[in-house]
Amino acid sequence: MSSNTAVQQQQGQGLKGLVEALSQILPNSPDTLVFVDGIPKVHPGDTATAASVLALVQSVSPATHRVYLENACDPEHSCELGDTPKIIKHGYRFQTVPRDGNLGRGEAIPPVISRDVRELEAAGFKVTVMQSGANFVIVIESVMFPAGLGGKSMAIMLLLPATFNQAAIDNFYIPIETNGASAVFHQRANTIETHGGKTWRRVSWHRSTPWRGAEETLLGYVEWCREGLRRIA
Amino acid sequence: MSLPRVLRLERDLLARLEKALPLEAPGGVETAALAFGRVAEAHGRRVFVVDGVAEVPTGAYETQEVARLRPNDRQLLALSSRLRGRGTFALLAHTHPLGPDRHSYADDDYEQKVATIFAGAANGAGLVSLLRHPTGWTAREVVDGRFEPIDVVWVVGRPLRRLEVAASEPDPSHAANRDIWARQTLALGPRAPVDLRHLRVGLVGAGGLGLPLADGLIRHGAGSVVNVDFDTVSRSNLSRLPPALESDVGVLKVEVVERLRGVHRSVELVTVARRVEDDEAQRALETCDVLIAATDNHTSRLVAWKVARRARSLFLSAGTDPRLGPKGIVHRVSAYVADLLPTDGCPGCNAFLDAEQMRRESLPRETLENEVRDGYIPGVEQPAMLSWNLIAVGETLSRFLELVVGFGPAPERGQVRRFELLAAPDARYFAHAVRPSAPGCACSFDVGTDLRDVMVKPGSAMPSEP
Repeated sequence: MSSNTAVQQQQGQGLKGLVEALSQILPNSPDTLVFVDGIPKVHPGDTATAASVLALVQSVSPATHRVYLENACDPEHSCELGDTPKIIKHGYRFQTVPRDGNLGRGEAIPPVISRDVRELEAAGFKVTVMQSGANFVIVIESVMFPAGLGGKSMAIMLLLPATFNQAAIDNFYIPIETNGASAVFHQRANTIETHGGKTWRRVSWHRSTPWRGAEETLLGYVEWCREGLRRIA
Repeated sequence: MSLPRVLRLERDLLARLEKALPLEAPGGVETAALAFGRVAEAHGRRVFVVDGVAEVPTGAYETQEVARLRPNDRQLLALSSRLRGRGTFALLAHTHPLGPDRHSYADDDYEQKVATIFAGAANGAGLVSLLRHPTGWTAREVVDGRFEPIDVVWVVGRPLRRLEVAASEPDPSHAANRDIWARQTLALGPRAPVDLRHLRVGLVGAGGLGLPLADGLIRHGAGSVVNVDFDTVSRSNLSRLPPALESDVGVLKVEVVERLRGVHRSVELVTVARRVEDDEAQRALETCDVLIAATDNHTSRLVAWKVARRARSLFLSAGTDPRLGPKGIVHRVSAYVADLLPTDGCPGCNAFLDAEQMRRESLPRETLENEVRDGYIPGVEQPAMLSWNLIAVGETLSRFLELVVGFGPAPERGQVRRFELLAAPDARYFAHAVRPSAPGCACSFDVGTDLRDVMVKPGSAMPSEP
């Protein structure tokens, strides 16, 4: 199976630690395959078998796990992926399920986060998702920073509770090398933390409006971050 | 001795089955319907959770139809494609409009045949049959060609209802303890002890709320209680855990709960010293017919709700909610209980979950310490009092009895009930009806991931490979 983007993870019974596993298998290059369980990010035109998908998951084999291919455009027509190579098309989803497991458990990325990631991608951002303890680390690239903060396209990071959007998010993170445009900004961004194996500068900004779970999206939050960055420029 | 087996289906699914299975069919012709779901099994209990009802395959269910049945039957294959191996099952429901209250020899042949088809076509999926007859229902599972009776069928709704199934052996220990509930039976009626005896209640938390709730459930006669808590008793717990002693400091809280076995011998008490996020804890809780969240942690309440929804259990959440004023003094405190069915919105949609609190609970230690240092998160614990907890426990047990034995006003709608302790006496009690999932909330996405929405449609093409 060839590939085209970054790394993802899959959790569930016996599948924990996949982020680390995939990080070892797949170097973090632009040509690396991004594979999210349930949300495929394989390149259309690639081929896949159950074994090739599961090969991405160390110590997991077709003997212990199944792979289901779901056609998002036609959910009624989903099937189990077997030994016959399938050509990947737009809209396909993969799900790996332990052969002895119950359905419903072992879901890797919550559907609401997957939806919001797709929405961010549709808005032109390149997004990488990693699980880190009880949180997801969402790295959003191609965010234009104001002139006072370098004036170039950089990444921001959101630390997302796994229970988003029922749980709120707060703050955001910027690359550590970013210098503050003003003393006020610098005061708000002088804490350095490590998340997802990388060091970030935490920007301690807090919204004044209460969290309205059902109405909140990642794109909306990113827009709020960008608006704030624009204001300090 | 075989495993106790429980079949659990929601009220609207039962209504669909009843519509598909009329007893008044002309000429007494049998009818049949198919449903499907998942199996939960832990601690000596096997639970069949019905996820959806398929379209009725045929109008008639007669021996000549059985004789024509082939493994490539379109309906059976279409359904088996929805079932994904061990841990799933098909439910074959049919009628004996004029017949006896037990399965016939023809049923035996047919069900063994259908079970073989599912086991082959759906990689080991099991078969459960549900028989509707003039005097009630009978249910059983086909296990390797043998038949094992289903002991209880719960209809999940308000109130929770136990379908009468084939009579099982009376429990001698329970009968011997009948005098314990003699006065309670005067209030709840003669059916209540039997319903409660069949009930398995999951309880998340064994602290200031969970421990007195476990005590109350056992004393009310719940047949089985599963208690999950990973924590140990601390000195600050001693003011709120009635049975805990100073010598218990450092002991697992579930070990204190274990002492409640001594209340009466007929209770089955299962304790799991794990977090609710842990698979072992969730497997145990999935076998429960009612799940009560009684922790001071909002994330664990949400996880408990997710388990209840997946297991099609009735969910109750109990708690206290103290609010501090600007000077750090409690200026408002409420005790609350809420009840949700699997079809209702999540605790977040129903406003008894704190989104910011859940964010804090998920923070890595480093970030949490930074936010406390910055003064953005208070570094002090929430106040807690035994008297507040006992009000929440009393309200929860009352609501529990309304919902499981129908004691009190008919609870057609779910409620979030709040008792404001510091309000004027005539303004202390509030209640609002529970709401459905709000579009856009994470809980509204979960519905699409189960099997509810993938009904087999009549005339639909066989699932094909893309």
